[in-house]
Parts: sequence; C-alpha cells; structure tokens
Amino acid sequence: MLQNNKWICLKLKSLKSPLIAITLFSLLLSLFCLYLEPTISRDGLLYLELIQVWHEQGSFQAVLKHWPQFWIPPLPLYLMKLLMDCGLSPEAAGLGLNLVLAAFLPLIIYGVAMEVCCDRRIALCAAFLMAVNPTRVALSIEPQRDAVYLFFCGLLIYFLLCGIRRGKWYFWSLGGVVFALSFLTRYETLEFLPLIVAAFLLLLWEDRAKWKKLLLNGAAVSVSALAAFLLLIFIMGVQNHLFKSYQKYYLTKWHDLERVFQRKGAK
Amino acid sequence: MTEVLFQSIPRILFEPIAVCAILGLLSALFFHWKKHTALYWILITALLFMIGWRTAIQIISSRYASILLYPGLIATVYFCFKLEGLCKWFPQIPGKIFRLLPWCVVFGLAVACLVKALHYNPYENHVRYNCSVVKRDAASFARPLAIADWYEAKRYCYYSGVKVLGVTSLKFKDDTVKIPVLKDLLARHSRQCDVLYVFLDERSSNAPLTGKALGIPEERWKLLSWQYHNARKKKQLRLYRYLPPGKGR
Repeated sequence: MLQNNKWICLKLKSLKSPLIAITLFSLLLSLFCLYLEPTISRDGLLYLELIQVWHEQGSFQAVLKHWPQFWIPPLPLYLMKLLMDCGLSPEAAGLGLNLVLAAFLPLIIYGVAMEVCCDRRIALCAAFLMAVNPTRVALSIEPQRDAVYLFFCGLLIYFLLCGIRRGKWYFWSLGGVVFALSFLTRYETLEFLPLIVAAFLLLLWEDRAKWKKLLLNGAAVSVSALAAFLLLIFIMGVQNHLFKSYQKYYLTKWHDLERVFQRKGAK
Repeated sequence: MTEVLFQSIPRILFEPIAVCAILGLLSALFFHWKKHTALYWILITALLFMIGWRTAIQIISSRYASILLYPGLIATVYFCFKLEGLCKWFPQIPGKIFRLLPWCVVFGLAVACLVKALHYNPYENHVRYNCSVVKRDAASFARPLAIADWYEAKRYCYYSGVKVLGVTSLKFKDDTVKIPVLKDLLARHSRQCDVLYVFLDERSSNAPLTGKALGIPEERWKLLSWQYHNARKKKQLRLYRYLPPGKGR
C-alpha cells in the first residue's frame, strides 16, 4: 500500500513539472506578444467601454442604455468588471482575465487528450502546441470573450469526456455547471446540447442495462446546468435584462417572419 | 461553404496544424474503424456536427471556429505519433529514425507556430503614436475636436483622450483624399472647436496635403505627424491640425 502511494506521488511529481512549465511558458509568451503589440483592437475597445459603464453606474441597465443593440453574453463583462471592482483599470482587467485564462488552455487540452488518447506523450505535445499556437496567443492579448469561452468550453469538453468514460454523476454535474458558465460567455455553447443528447443515446445503445445510471447522469447535468445558470444571472443582476432582451430578440424575429409571410401572401 | 472549410477553419487552427489535423483524423478513422466503441462514435458525431453547422450557416468570423483548436491539436499530435508505425512499411530504414520522426514533426510545428505568433508589425503603434501627438498638442487648447473615419474613431478617442467624430465620408477610395469633401468637413466642424485634428489614411506615395491645396492659409493647416501602417509602407496614417479662422492659441 505504502509502495503504491509512493509510486502515485512520484508519478504526480513527474507529471506536475512539465505541465507547470508549459503553463508558465504560455503565460510568458502571451506577455511577450503583448509587449510587441500592445494596441487594443476596435472590438476590444467596445468591451472596455462597456465594463467601464457597468463599473461606474453599477447596473447592467446602463450598459443596455449605452449600447442598445447589446448581444454579448454578460459573464465575460461581469468577470472583467469584478477585477475593476478590485481596483484594476479597464485595460488591465480585460487583458489580465484573458491572459490568465488563456494560460490554462494547455492544461485543459492535456486533460482532454489524456481522456481521448490515454497517451501521456500525445497529451503533453498537444499541451505544448496549444501553448505556442498563434490563435491562442492572439486571443489571449485581446480584452474580449474568446479566451474566456475557450477556457470554459474546454473544461466542458473535459468534464463531458470524463462523464462518458467513467460514468460518474459528479463529472456530469460539473459539466452542467461549466455548461452554464460557457453559455453565458458565448451562445455557441448550445451546440453541446444535441451532442450531450446524442452521447446519452449512443451510451444507451451500447449498454441498455445502464438506463437508470444514464438517467441519473442526465438529471445531474441538466439540474446543475439550470441551477448554475439561474444562480449566475441572479449574482450578476441581469435576470430582468436577459429575459427582456431575449423576449425582444425573439419578438423581432417573429415580426420579421410575419412580414415575410405577409409579403408572400400579398404577391 | 468552401470558404469556411478551406479558409476560416484552417486560419484559426493555423494552416500547418490544420493539414496535420486532417491527416490525424483520417489516420484515426483508418486505425480505429474496427474498434468502434461508443466513445469513438460520440467523437465522430461531435466533430462532424461541430464542423457541419459552422459550414452550413457560413460563419462570418473564423473566431466562431476557435473551439476546434482542441480536436485539431489533439488530431495533429495523434498523427505525429502514428508516423512511428511507418517503420513497418520501410524495413530498410533504421527504427531509430522513425522513433525520432514524431518529435521532429512536433518540434517543426512548434517552431512554425512560434514564428507566426512572434511575427509582429513594426508599425503597429501608428494609432498610439499619432494619438499621443494629439494628446500633447491638444493640452494647449480649450475645445479640441478630431474627425476621423468612423471605423477607427473610437480607438483614436481612447488613445488621444480628445473627442473624435466618426465621419463615413473620410474613408476615401484608393486612400487618395478628395479635396472638396475635406473642405466641406472642415467648414462644417470648425465652428464647434478651437482646433480641429484630422486623421487621414493616405497612400505613402501621395504628398501630404498642403494649406494651399485646400485654400487655407499655411499657418492654419499643418501636418503634425505621420506613421506607416505596416512594413509594406504603402499606407500612412497622417495627422493634420486645422486652426479655424478667428480662433487659435
């Protein structure tokens, strides 16, 4: 038993150092690129403007008033605003959040690759290539939502893979929480809904006897996603605005559709 | 459709990685087609779906495909390590070479990525540089104002700290300024300020605008600063200062 524990400790130690090195390297590389090209993009400035409005006026309503065509999910802005509440400037808050979260992307891809390939060499090389990938570097030095989305969505992929491979309800539950975080960062996360349903159907098709366990896992992912989503929008204080903006969005779409049918009818 | 598949997705993955990722996915299909577990089908369905809907709706920015970095990079490294298996087909080549081959390909890809990531525009400060000139110069005026192409107006305002009006007509075809348009803008906006800064994107080969060309006394029109857009040096961002009549320092 003692020998077994020693072996696990050694394995963890040998695993930790290259991963820490890769994470630090990715952070340093991003910082160096920021030093080379510090000018903020046009889109990045919009984010900085919005978080400044939210921070100064203390309400999301002010953001909607400032930019009425608001369609950016509020979580990345809220996270940047939290950093501003801690005393950082808008630029430092936006860049800091993206730099730090993007530095963890190699760690996430390591976990995902280990789940898919079960080969440490592949996982470590994937982590290294993620650290030096020009897209990761470019996204990490912009105060936008892309690095935040890649962070949460990467975690979502990791937890879903853990859930599928190990069948434990807590992995599905964590997947649900990260799904809500990722959805409030970018709406494309919705693409994972049909994929989760397909995964359950394929798992059921493979072993029908496990339907009770699959049902439990399904409940874990949906309940935790819903709970995290509601909790987050109440913490951010965007519940009224979010629902109203969605109502407005879908109402506009419905009116557009009506107009199309009316035009066809008139013809 | 082809634009998304052959331009947007490869651009976000970085082209050499995209090529290796496709080879990796093909080799994964080839090596695992008999051992199709549920995970295998889930991964195949997920990848096809993720690429499929992006291609179908024709994503406007390659950033919408950024999530494909995860499968793309894993497939790339998978392909690199599958190269070890080539030694069975070429027995005359020493096995040591095949054992080193995956590491060499990964190293090559990493170097290519680093070169691309560290490639920077030496004139990327053209916005900040010109804006810093405005900031310094505007300190001695009570009501400074700037006009610029609406596309960049916010950035100029952020870096200069001066109010910048975005004007659509300041975007000129071939970056050659139309004098009557500029004269009209100067007349229209000069009443609101005691100094008017004009940001103009111009061809480097065009001579800077003079007061004479605009019909303004030379002392009221000055080229304050300019900077190239990039190393190609074909385009410059030029900053002019106009002092409206009856106003000034």
